[in-house]
Amino acid sequence: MTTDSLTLGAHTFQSRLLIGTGKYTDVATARAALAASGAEVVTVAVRRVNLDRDAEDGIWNQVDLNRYVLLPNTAGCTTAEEAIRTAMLAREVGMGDLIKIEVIADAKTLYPDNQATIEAAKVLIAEGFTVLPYITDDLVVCKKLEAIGCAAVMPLGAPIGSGLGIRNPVSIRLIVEAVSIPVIVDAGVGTASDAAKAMELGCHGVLMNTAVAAAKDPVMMATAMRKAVEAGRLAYLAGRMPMRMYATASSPLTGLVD
Amino acid sequence: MTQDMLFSLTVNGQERTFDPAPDTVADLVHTLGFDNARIAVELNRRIVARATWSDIALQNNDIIELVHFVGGGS
Repeated sequence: MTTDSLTLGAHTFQSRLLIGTGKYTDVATARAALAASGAEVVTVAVRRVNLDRDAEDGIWNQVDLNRYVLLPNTAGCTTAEEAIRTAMLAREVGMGDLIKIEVIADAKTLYPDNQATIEAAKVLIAEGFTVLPYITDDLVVCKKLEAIGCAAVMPLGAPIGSGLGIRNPVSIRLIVEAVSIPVIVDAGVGTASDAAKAMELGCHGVLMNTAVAAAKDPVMMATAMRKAVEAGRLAYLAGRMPMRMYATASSPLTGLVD
Repeated sequence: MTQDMLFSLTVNGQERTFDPAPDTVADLVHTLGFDNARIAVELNRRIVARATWSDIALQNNDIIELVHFVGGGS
């Protein structure tokens, strides 16, 4: 099991849990939750600096880069052009090649614009990025993204921040079977069983933010998520027993005392 | 300097005047106090690589964006 790792482009990770850094109530909790999660990949957003700030320069610019790899996203972008621009800026800030493409098409659901995502991915792959697109759970789109050279596909389990869990496990499973790049469920996970479920479906990783940040005890939930992802992965590799309609006795039916 | 001769830049959407005028991107970043920050600079929508900050001159009415990473997620 020591060789069971997640490969994204040139990067190899032992943890299959990727963690977002938004919505935490305070910096100390965010740091502690991040550590408890065991995550090696940490998502961040790109925003204007506050010109009048006296405060610290955002903790995410000071995370230990020997320990964590930053995965900037293009959150807030609604067109391929904006996403490309944001990705270029992110690379200049972070000096890394990973980018999570997020092109939002609908404000209420935060569903992604699949077509614009494909367009942005093409450009950014040509620019040398390791591209991880946030996408609907659509296997045809995922196959297209694989064909153009994405390092992974990141279908949503449910709307961002909804905590509804994996609403369409069949779609996720079909994607896992249809592509040979890693499949990372991005968005929708609400609690540990959701993360375990994603991994049991054969996903290669889970990316989450709100499920940890909005828990009553984010640090404890981060620990739960770490264990859930590990447990789900092991269960997938172990191969579950088939489901049956009727009971099959676990104890021998012979040698019963009269 | 009269008012209409002040050196003006649009930085992160805000029009700002500078006296003295920053000669280069590096001067501007220093004036704004971001020398040691992990930031990216865009000048008129083109990224200016950090290594070239001191080589790139600024003109009156240039449009600058300074960005960094903030918490964000899925």
